[in-house]
Amino acid sequence: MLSSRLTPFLFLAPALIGLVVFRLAPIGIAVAGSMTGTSLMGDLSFVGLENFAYLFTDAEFWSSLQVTLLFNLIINPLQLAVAFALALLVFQQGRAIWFYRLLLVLPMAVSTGLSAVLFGLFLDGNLGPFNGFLEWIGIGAQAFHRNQDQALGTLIGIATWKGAGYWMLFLLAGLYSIPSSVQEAALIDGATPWQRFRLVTLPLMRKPMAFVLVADTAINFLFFAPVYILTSGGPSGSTSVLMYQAYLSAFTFSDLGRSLAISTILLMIILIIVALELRLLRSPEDHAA
Amino acid sequence: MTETIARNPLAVALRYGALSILAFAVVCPLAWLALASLRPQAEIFQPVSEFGWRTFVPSRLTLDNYRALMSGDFPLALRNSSIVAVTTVVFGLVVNALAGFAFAAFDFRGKNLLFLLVIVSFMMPFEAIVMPLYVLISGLGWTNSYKALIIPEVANGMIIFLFRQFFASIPKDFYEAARVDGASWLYIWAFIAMPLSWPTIATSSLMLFLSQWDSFFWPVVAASDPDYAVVQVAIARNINFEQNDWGGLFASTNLAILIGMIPFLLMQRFYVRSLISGGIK
Amino acid sequence: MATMSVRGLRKSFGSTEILKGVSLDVADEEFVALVGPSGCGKSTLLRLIAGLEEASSGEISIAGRPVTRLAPKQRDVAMVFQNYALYPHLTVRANMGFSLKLRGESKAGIDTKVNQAAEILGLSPLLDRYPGQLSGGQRQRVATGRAIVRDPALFLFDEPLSNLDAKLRVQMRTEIKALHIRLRSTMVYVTHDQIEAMTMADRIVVMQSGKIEQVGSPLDLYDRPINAFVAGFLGSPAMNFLEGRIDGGALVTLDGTRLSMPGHLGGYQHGQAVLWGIRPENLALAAEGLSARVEVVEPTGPDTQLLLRIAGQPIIALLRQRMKVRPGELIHVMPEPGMTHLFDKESGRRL
Ligand SMILES: Nc1ncnc2c1ncn2[C@@H]1O[C@H](COP(=O)(O)OP(=O)(O)O)[C@@H](O)[C@H]1O
Ligand SMILES: [Mg+2]
Repeated sequence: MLSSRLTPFLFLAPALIGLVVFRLAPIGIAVAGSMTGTSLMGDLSFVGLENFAYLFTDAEFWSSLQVTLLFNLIINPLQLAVAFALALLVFQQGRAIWFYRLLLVLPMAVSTGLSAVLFGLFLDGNLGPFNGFLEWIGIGAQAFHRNQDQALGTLIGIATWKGAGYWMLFLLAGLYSIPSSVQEAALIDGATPWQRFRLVTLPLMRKPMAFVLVADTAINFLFFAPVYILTSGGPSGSTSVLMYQAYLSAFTFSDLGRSLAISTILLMIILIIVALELRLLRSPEDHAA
Repeated sequence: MTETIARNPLAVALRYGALSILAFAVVCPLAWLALASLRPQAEIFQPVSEFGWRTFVPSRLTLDNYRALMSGDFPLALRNSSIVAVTTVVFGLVVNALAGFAFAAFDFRGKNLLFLLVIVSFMMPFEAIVMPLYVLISGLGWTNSYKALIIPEVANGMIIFLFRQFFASIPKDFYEAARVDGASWLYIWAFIAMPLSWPTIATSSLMLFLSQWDSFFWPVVAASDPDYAVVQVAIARNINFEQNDWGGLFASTNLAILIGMIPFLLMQRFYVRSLISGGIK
Repeated sequence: MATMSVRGLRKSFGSTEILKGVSLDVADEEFVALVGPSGCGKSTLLRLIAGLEEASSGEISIAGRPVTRLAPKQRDVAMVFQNYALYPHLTVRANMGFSLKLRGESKAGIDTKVNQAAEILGLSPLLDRYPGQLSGGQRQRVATGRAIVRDPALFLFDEPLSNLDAKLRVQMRTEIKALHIRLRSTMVYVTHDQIEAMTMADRIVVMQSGKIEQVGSPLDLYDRPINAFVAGFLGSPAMNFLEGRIDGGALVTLDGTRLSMPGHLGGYQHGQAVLWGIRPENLALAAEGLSARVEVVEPTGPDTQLLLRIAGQPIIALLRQRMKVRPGELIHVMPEPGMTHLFDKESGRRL
């Protein structure tokens, strides 16, 4: 094109500097910082892999890793399943379906932090209606995020309330991208509704479903705000996910090395997930017509 | 084929039944909060034993809780959030649209690699780098300042991507014709490309606005000083205080939710389409 | 194989009526082509027969069995879609065997039938490929193969060749016709391409705006179109029309030119407003006759196509000879006796 060689870079410079300094450089800082220690006097020193070695002997880290994995093992398949069910329910045209769709995606406009506050109030015994409702139907009031056995489940519920409608949108787009004539061909070929779902819809939804699963996992590995707002990692560490550990290490225990070591581990996990996601988007629709 | 199924009356009833229950579950907490924020102070507490329709419907509606907000720390938080969000929108639009234009209009060395950086930057959730970014920002001496809240959020891979997609959809002839007429690239960007891209500008503004309005982790880490507390942080603090102004918390939470939700509702069509294009292309 | 019949079929989408009472009988082993301009309701009619849409009123029966209210799977029809609608996640083999598998046929039985169909269509080397790895023509064959494996009572085709390039289209049309003869099957074939209809069909159904205009063998329709629409729709280049009034043995055109046509216009009502039609190949050079100004000369090798202006109106003539005329020249053409058509101007009906 008719341009000097420099022009594109002048256009790119502000954004690229921003991305490099505030997105890329922190990755390096995390890795470098995870290999430093801070003395009581506050000076930094290179300590190699000592932070990691220490982490791996630290019961609190292992328990936090366990919580994080458990959380992700439950929440990601759960959100995928709920989102897919919602997408199937609102897929076909029908009376007022647009309105249901709108209601279902409303929570995506509520930030994670505000969702946590909202449910903190909603589930509160004195302020919110939910425990009253549970009493009324005979189940009895529950402590939810204040109970060691229920806290993680409560957070999963809140995050699913917020996230299901959002992920539904991607699956809905996937459903719309299946040509209706393919469904009709199956109908003429004699497939029952269930057979059409299992033999046509489900296999053709593999890609959008994988995308949702991977992207959702990336987000949920970094779950933070509701833990900070509602449980502070408790009760008894039952919701102390890795991101919260990273925060605590830096701001409560002033152990920046540990915080960055945890961040580095999380970053590695996230980068692997992102690589997966990229492959998914790149791969030409393997067999698509 | 859609009709044959939709006409089965049992299936229709089941479908709408399920949808109604789900939609109720989704909307109920929001509706409850909206109504509760209009309660008189005396009715805020809801003893578990007194569950009934009064639990949801106040005996009278009042704006007292909202009026009381004006005197607390909330106006400052609103001010902080507004400054941060609006500044980010203004700078973010310019910076990211310029970059998006470069990716769409020019061929240059390293283009694919740089675009990969853009894509990775928005696939990697921001939370992943909050801790090391904090190290960087405090190294620069920016903690507890608007700078810390705004500058790292200006460059945004998703917005670059959206602008690139839009600018790439304009035929190159369009730009080249203007080039032949002697226009500079900056002129073309500002007076030809940007005016055509208003839908992208609108969704991008909303995305940038929400990215700031909703952000919590970064402000908690980078600007924990009450003077710089943004709305989300101020509200989150209040829920953990033993306090007597629960009505104020209801009102501020509801207000913060509405400020995020109303532009979303107005623009949800565009917004949803852009989101999906970023995810699945 | 079987007969198919449609009685008084109507279909509305919302308040717009798309099919306005269609009746049609298709005989056993017959190949019927549905033609008509885009949007006239061909696909809708086919989808009603398949059971993909529900009729607003009217009756459909296949092999003498009423199927109007039955689901597609109970109608024993196979359909080939315009975009082929192959299952993208299944191999060619699995695509073709899909319906048999659903029907619960044995693995061996499915394999035999699929291999047999693949043999007929030349698909044997492609059986383990995915649709995404096939060319357009190959996909078309797979779609056809998927239909014939079923051995249905009735085949339905919805513009199956419209996504292929011209050369492949000609080849595939011969193949499908050969298949029809070989399988001795009943086929309803939708196309907007009248050449396809003319060359393939036993009978052609011409539709317009949700109604059937005429049904008949290709040459019947070509030679004796029932109205001006059918006359203009079949044939390429299309029939020429001159608008005018009858005055004794002559046609007085709009600009007042009096074209005398001895032997063509006897016995019609004096002063009636008519469309006089003549096919391009039925005009011949003559020493006298209609005087025509040559506007464009298009030699195609064996033939010469002339764009003429007669009585101020454009007329195309297709002459089976090479010619040395130039634009601007004045020539004379004569309609072949017995090959002119006369339609009422108001109703379009043949006179
Ligand atoms: N599902 C539908 N809803 C509303 N209108 C439709 C639907 N399907 C077809 N139509 C309308 O019916 C008319 C006939 O369509 P179609 O049968 O596809 O025409 P053809 O195949 O002859 O081109 C068109 O005007 C089309 O817009
Ligand atoms: Mg059609």
